[in-house]
Amino acid sequence: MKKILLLVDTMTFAQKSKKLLILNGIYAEIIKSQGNISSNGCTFGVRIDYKDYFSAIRILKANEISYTVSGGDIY
Amino acid sequence: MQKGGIYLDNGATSFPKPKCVINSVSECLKQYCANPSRSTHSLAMIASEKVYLAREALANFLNFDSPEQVVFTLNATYALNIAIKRSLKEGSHCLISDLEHNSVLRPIHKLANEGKISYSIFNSDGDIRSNIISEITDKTAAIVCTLSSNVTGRRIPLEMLSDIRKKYKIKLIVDASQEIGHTIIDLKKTPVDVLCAPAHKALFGISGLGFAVFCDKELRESFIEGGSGFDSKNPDMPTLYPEIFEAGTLPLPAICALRSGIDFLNSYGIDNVQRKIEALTDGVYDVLCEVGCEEIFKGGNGIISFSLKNIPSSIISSELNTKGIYIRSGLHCAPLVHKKLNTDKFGLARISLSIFNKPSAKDKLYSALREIKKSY
Repeated sequence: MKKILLLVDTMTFAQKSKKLLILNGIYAEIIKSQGNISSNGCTFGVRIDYKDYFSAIRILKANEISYTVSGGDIY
Repeated sequence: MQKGGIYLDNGATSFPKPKCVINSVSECLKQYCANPSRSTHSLAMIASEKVYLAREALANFLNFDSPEQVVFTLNATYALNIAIKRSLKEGSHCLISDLEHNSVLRPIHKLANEGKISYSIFNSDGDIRSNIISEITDKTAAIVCTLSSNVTGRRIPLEMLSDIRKKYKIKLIVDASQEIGHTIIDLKKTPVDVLCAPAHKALFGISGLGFAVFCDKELRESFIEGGSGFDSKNPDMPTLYPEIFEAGTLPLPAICALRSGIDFLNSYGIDNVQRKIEALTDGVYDVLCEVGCEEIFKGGNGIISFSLKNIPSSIISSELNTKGIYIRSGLHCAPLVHKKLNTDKFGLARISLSIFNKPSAKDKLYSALREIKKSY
């Protein structure tokens, strides 16, 4: 299954995002990426199934969580 | 503590701690005491989750929606220093009460001494609202204020402070050190800009942890700089909350203890805390009256201070210590209130209660104080 990575910068926002997504039935796992993804070094994000992408970003936006999608749309 | 000893110094730090708090620290140290927000191996992920759950528990406890705005610090003093020094701009004026602890007075006084700000002290007696409003000038940018005195227990109502904040559009930084855990604080009903407190008093956490809850999201200048676990190539400190004010490793065992302490309080019920503390306070107050203490100040937060026959408070404290009763003496790092009460020569003896004190403590206190009174 294709996965997508939503980068939210900090572990705190990764935890918050994971919790909100799981509460809404979306499986999410926290990952840490390094310089290959973020030009400024380490960054945290949540990895989700691509099928959940639109639901997930709706949830993040509703909760005012800024995110960037890693490497285009598909991780 | 010696067998049969009675700890009455909960305003300094609560003791004993609930079993669940001790267990949470033990579990953390034994099972997952990795570095949160750094690595992503299993133990570090558990640690990171525990930190987030503690932020969330504290936010819920205060009816506040943004756990990421809960910043963990070394203690309440550190939290207040961040809030004060980052909120007050050069040239501004602020108000503090005459009940402030040095954790508020000293940072404000330092900024004033450096010519950066000016401040006025309002009277906490009588019509406090009018006293505050009469001191507001067109340069007043903030009220920095305790919610209850650590010497007399006197309260400054948050509802009133929050209302002044709204009407006069000035910032409100509150020191909730002696209030949180004793009353319900609802940040939706009574908004503030920053609330600061320690974990180790009536929240039953352990020392080494304080926090600042930033409702004001505009403060984006770091306080100290260091590792944040992300954005590592950037030589500037990241400006995202809470990491902007959390450089370096967090005290995970203390954070776990705080969450357990809050869980404990939620189960026990703040109403029950208030009832128990009120009953204990009334019992101690009666004892102090019976013994013939001259000045007795009591508040709703379990604090009762007193003097006895002009005996220096340090002697009362050390005499009680020999009888297995542990209290605090002196000026309690709050010189303004002692100056106001004219007790700055000998200080006051302070008893501060917790729900773990037993009603029978007052009987032992009565006998001990009677003995002290007779011997001086």
